Amino acid sequence: MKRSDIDFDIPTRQSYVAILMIIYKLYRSLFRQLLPFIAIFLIGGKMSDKTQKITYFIVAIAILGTIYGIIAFFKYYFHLEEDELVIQSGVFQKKKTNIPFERIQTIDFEQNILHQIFSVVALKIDTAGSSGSEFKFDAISKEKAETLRELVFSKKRSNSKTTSIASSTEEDFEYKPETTEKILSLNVLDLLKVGITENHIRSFGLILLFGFWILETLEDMNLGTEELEKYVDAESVFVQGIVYIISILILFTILSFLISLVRTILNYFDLKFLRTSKGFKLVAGLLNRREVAALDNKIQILQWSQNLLQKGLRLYEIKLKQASSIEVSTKKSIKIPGSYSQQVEAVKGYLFKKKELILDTPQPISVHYFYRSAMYLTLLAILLAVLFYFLDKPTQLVGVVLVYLFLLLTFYLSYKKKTYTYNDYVLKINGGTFGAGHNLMHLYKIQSIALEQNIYQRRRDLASLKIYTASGSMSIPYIQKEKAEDIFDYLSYKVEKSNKKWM
Amino acid sequence: MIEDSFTNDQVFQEAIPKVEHIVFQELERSYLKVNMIVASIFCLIFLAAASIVIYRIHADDKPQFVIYIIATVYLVLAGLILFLSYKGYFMKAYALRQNDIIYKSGYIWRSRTVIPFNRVQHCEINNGPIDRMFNLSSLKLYTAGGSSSDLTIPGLNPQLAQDLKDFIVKKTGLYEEE
Repeated sequence: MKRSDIDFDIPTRQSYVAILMIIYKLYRSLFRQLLPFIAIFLIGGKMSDKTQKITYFIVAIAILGTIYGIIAFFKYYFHLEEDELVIQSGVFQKKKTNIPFERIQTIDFEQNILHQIFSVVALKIDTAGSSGSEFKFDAISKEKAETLRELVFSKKRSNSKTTSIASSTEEDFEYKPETTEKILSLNVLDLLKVGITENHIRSFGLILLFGFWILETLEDMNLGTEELEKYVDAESVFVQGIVYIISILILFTILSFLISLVRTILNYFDLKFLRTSKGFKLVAGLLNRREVAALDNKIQILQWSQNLLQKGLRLYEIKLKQASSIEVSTKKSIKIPGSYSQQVEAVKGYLFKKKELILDTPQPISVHYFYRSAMYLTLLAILLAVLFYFLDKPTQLVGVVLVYLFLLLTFYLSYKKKTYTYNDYVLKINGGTFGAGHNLMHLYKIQSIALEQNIYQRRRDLASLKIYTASGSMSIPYIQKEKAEDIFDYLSYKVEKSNKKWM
Repeated sequence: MIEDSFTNDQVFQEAIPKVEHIVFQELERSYLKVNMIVASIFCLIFLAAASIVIYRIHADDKPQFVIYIIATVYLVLAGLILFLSYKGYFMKAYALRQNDIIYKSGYIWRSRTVIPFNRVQHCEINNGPIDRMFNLSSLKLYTAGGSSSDLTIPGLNPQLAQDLKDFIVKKTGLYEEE
């Protein structure tokens, strides 16, 4: 099919592969939500009445979802109308969305394995608008997608003076290397480092959940500890229990580590982080190769952070937080793992001018921030400790004390690490507990500011500041009220004086 | 270093308007009534719930002292809701400046929020059924900062709300033309 043959004037549906994608997405999210249930099925084997009911429920949801997805596909049309992209959709209620070309900021392509087999792409359209900023086509033939993108951007170009195309395909930037500059690429060794230093808590939690489910089924099968105690004397159960717990912990650690590693490789295989003329671009992924763009004007907050493990390897994780009109989701921020301070400095240099980065030494917040949380924590701990003492449960008592000490340390560290500094152009807020995190933003990207005081703070003449941006809020908690008022006045003054566009 | 340049530059410092010095506008007096009515409705709903629980306990021949506990808890909560709604009214106030609008509220958790006009996405006037009975409107300002940073100023005279909206829209429009 020749490109000129593709007609965008009449409403057309997406490629039929889209049905497959919709159903695949549905089942994937169902599977993720129901992972524990499925695991129980595979392991438990025993069908209790409860699990049977749940199964019927799941099957019903899956069938209904499939039907809904198919109808949604057949009701989804798009076409071009003069200078607008028109999308018609809706199963129960018809919806028509017009997106003027000049508001389209980026058109991103994405291909997972299914897409690659059928040679289609998922298309993501990002607009500068305030309401409903993002549209996604599940599957469109690659030719069609490219023609659409060309059409949109050529018209956009002829309409306005903006000459550079915000987003380009992989082939594109190979043809014109002068527009892009490589900031970072990860090889297999780098990936390994990233995988090792990933935050394992999420993987760990997943496995823990899994473990709890197994325990519960064991209890369902009347193999609970109470039954066991009748047959075995208490002491040997205790020793065995400890051995059991330790070996399970080791197993869990190894497993969660492996899961993190696999996830890292899947997400960040052959990562390329590039600087384009107006923003950044990230290409990464093994099975699902993503190509995401972040334009400078859409980036509201630059974040770089490292956890304890990453600190050891001097690795950073950079996040470019972009404006999103709907509720702030993590999807809107681009995460670049495996960076060193060199890359952090490079990104900083691209987004901020040199004079903007001359900052004072960060100022600490009030120690009452720690005192207050410590006070509540201590009260709760004492309550629990007394409870367990009278119930004569020494193991739990020791547990409470250990958790208390750990949390106390966490609170102290997060108080110590919380600092802030600002100048005429930017605001920088640092935080973290065991690791460290830094947030840097232009003052003119602030949307609104709130000064808050609870009773505790009022008695000590303290206040907290909350700074809202189009990609989430940041706070400076527990500082002197006078200081907070000064900052409040100063920041609002800066925002009002600036005529720069925040996006 | 920044602090130095900040304080040395006297003109600059004085140029920054201070919120401390501005006069806040109170809300319409009838909004206090609306506040109290809404709070009373809440209390009534709670009362219904509490009555059902008490009735159940009474019917089940459970110990009677539980009824007294529930009744006390209800009275304390209802009193607290009414008290806070009453006090809350006097904390709510707004101030319109040339370039922004400031709203303060909260008796226990005090807050003061500023929205610069050049960050307002759009604004709307709402009047619910109880508002209409007392001839009141509320003005809602939206920013790109998400729903938690949107601002609602309740208890306004409808004409005033319209005037405020027109003023803000005009101001917002000015920025967009730039």
